[in-house]
Amino acid sequence: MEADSFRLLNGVKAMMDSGEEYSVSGSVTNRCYIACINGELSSAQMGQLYDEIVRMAEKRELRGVIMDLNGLAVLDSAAFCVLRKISGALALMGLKSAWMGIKPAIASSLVDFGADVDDLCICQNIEDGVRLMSFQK
Amino acid sequence: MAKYCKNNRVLEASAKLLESSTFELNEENDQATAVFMTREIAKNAGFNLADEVMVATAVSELATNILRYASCGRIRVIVIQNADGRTGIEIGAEDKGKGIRDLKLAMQDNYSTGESLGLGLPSVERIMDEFEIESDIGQGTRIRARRWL
Repeated sequence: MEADSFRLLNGVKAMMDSGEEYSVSGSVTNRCYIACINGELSSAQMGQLYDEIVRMAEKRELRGVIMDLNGLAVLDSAAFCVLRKISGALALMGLKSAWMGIKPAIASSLVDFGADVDDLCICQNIEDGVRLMSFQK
Repeated sequence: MAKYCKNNRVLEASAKLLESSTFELNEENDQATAVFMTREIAKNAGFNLADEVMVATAVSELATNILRYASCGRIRVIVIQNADGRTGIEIGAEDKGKGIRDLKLAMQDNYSTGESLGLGLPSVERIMDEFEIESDIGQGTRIRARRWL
């Protein structure tokens, strides 16, 4: 048990030391904002994410937002809900949105969870996403 | 206290405890720690990547509920072994929040008293092999769920 506790403590320390930032970073290409979401999304971070993306959408003359989820290791229903809210808010602002980079393990857990994935707009990479922005209704 | 069990099956008491970790949840960062460490524990127990993420997602769901509705609580992640030598992970989540008035209602999809779609508890029940929840008004909530290799 002692060896296990030591290993676990090291694990936590490693996570803290890695300087992992739980936040969104982004860039704009072809009037599409690519929001890269990293780390584990807590409720507070989700609120920040929502504000950040909507604020960015308002500030720049964008066609759409691509949410890059490659950096997410786990996506629970609360985080999924926020991502849907973001897409909904963007649609109301006249912007298109697409999700990208959902890892296979997350995809299968979303399906097993029973998340509503029917009307999501998903793209495989940035190029596809930008192309989708032109055709999306 | 009101109790609900998946398939009406109570968790077997005879499972052997191999390794146990407890995560106190008081603030947002505690959730990230619990989720990260759960993945490590599941990986070391021999779960494949998909199941590792599944179990971590269940922990994330339960942690969100605790922080959102009870403001503090604890999650235990235990590596267990049944009488046949099969390894599994048990997640125990408990809080002293205000409790759930109607368990049957809370276990229905799309029911929520909060800010989410309310997918949390039924989702955890769906992905875990065994699930039981006890709660009552003013008595907090206790959840135990297991997933086997």
